[in-house]
Amino acid sequence: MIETALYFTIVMLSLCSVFAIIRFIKGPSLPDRVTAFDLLAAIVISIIAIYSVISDNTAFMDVAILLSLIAFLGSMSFAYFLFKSPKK
Amino acid sequence: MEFAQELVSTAFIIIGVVFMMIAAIGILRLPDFYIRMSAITKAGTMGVGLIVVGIAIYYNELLIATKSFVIISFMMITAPVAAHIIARAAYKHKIPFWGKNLIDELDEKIAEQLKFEKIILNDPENIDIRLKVMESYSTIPHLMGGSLRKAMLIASEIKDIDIAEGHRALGIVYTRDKEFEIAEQEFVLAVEASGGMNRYRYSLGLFYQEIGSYELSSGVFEGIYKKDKREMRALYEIGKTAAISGANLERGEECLNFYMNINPPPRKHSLSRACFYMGLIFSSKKEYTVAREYFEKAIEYDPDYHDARFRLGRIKRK
Repeated sequence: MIETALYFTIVMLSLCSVFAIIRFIKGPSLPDRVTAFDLLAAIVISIIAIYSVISDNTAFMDVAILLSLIAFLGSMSFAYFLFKSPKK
Repeated sequence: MEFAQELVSTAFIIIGVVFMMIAAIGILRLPDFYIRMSAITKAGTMGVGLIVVGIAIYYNELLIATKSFVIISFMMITAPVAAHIIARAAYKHKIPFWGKNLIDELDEKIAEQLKFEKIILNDPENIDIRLKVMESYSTIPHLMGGSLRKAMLIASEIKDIDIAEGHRALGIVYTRDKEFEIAEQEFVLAVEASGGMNRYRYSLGLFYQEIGSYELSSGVFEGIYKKDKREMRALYEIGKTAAISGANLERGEECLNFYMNINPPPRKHSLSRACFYMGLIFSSKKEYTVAREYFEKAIEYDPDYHDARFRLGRIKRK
């Protein structure tokens, strides 16, 4: 039963990532895309964490840690890029 | 037992997924960038946190619990920082609001500054407006066009009109810039250039008070009072300096007592401040019952005085 519930959560999270991707494509501005990317990273972290339960492999938790760091670096560098780019 | 554990962990994971769902719907449906951003940083962090806690409960091992803790603390530290920085960058790039928000304080401040600058063009001798523009240049964040260098430029323009006022303005800007030695020089120059006018002596004294040179500060105020016995504000400032520094308490108490009993009595606002500093002096002396009376008096004069309420609360707890 719990297995089913976990598969169900992964389906829900995939739906979430579809929403985030729609926003990523729609924009309309770069900061919108950066935040959509942020959310996408959070969703992927959750999916990996849940998958570590399904596959019973705790090594996936390390992947989740790494990804949470890299996602922060990504949005940070985008923000820096925004700062440096000239005003409209 | 094991079943209950699995049940609890699954419940946590499902609640977390619900939060992620809220974040995702929010990012798709909400009207403008800033609202979307607040939706995903709050709900997203909550969602990931709950999911990871659920997994920690599922495994029930120290190693996994530690890893979950690491993930949660990373998210909690990095998400607000990233959101703040991106929102600032977005504001700088004038990403539009959705049009139904009521307040944009930064925008109001910048608009006010532009208005003042126009007045200056028409009326070049107006020192007060120049001071205001200088003030706003030094308080608006650097990112939004505030700049200490511009503030300094305006201060030196003021100096061309009125030497003493200009030195005072430069002193204020240098204080903002944390160049305390130069600021001190400027304030002293202002006093000298005006021939010792009280206005500039007060600003010198207040400057010393701000940077924590309490002895110099009370020295300046004592000087003002010695020169003119009618300068009641000097008495108040001597008392305030004593109260903040915790030194020279007897003199401070004497001055504030005198200040509170002068005729005609000071405004209620100043009276409440004076009572507050009396309270501070007595709490430095550890006479808490007297201090408490003074704090209560300060609140009576000015019910909105938060510092006094805070101090009163602390004394009541003792």
